[in-house]
Amino acid sequence: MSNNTISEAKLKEYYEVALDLVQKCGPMLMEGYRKPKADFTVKADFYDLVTVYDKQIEDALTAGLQTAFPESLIIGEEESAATERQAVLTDAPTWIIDPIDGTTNFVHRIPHCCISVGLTINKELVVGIIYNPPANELFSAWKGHGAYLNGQRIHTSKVTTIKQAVVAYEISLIHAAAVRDKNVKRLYKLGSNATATRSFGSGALALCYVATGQCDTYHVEDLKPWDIAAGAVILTEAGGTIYHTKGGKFNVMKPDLVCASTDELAKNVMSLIEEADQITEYTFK
Amino acid sequence: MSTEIEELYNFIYPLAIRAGEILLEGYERKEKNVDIKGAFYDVVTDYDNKIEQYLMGEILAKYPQHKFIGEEETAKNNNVSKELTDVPTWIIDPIDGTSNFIKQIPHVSVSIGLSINKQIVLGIMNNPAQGKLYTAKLGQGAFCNGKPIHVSNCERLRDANVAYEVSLLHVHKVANKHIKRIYHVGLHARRMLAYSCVVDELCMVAAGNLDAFYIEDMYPWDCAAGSLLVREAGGVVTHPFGGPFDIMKPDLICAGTEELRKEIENLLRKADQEHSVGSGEV
Repeated sequence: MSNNTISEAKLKEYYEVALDLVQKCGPMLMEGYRKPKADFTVKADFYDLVTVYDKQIEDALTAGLQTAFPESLIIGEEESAATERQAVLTDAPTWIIDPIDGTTNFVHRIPHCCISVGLTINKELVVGIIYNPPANELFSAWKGHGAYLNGQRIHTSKVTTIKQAVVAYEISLIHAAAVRDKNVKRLYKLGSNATATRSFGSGALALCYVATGQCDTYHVEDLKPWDIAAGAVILTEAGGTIYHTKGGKFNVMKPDLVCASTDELAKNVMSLIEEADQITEYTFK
Repeated sequence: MSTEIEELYNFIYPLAIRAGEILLEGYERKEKNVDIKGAFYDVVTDYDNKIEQYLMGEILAKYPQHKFIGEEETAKNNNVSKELTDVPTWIIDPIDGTSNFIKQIPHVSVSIGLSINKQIVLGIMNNPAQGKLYTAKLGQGAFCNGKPIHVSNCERLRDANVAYEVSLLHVHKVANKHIKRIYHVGLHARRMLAYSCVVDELCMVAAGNLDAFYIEDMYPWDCAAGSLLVREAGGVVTHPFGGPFDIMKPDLICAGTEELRKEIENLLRKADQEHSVGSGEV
């Protein structure tokens, strides 16, 4: 038994306060979204953008959550970038925040961008909130209480095989040379066996779309805790499964994952990934 | 000519709105989420037919001499043809993005184009899932919900959002062609996205949400209206290898700028020359 045994009432309080704070950040995001000419800076990699709104939203959430819950810690994307600190997860209640996931969509006014806030307690994911203001989509979940979209209960699809599945995959993962081959082969393997493939440009929302049944499976590696934390809660509370790519327990701090509407589909995808990793000759016949 | 186009636009506009309502009704039905093929495909066909019959019926009631471009199987009457002539010809896709229609992914569209003297003179595309109605008349600009839209001024792929029909990987005959092209274009583009709704992707280029889009092997009704919208929004539309765009065989690259379009064309050519996707190559 660990130190922090959280009561249902306390967990509900964490959930409701966070939900309220996230919604209050909606207008901030929309102000940036509506600007005729988006202002952004390119980060270290040409494909990675940041705007002033990322920082504004993260600051607002950090301030609000720490005021309401001084015992809690924050792992945030912009703060981590600024300090270049490698975050370590402890048992303390920890908010894991991405102020804007899908920044390239945000600057192009494509309504697949969102604010993502997850909570861990005793290193376990217990709350997930994802808000996509341009599409008016508020996804939320807290452990044991199901997943919701704008107050309506959501559930994954019942798809069990890749052949019937719509796969979400971020094609742009092929940018980074170190993981390029891996992603090309896996994209090929999954895409050629699936009913259809989608690439939305937001990891957090891809998890939500599996939670609603709009997609049936999503595989991604090499992202950060804040891309995945909230979506993982929403997906599992919607009846979906999430594993480490190799089949073991998924780790939010190094979130290499396969998630799916059903266990059967997840296993199907994991075995196709293994096959993909064996490919040495790139001519796909 | 322009009063004729104006009259036809004013006639078709409310029909496009109504068609979008029918599409939305089908889109919002929950019981589709059982199997993406098979029984559920019947729901698609049902609404596809409903919308097509609605539009054809209304148009022929007022303009019995007008023609439609359609597939042989739908050529139930003399007005449907597989060839484009000078006669006013409607080029309609009742539902584009059928997988999205079924899965409730909000990239679906009714597309209505009109050709006179073999030239597209008006286009209306309605994505009711996102509440976006795109319109264009030849020489009069492009609009979304009545507000002017314009393509982006992005000139370099490294700054660009592009879309690609990645789902084509499941067509085994062309899987190798596409994985090579995805590799070369995707490597250099800031973001490569995939929505599987050609009509909506053309609209997104016109509105500057996407900077470029490439597609092959579509039907005239997937691209007719959208190609006009992109041009009216200031963009370029050509055959993938640089020649003129052909409505009847609508393989295309479209982009906000010629520089970006050309950069993509060069990468498609490069991809095609390779035998396979190589390890570590740039």
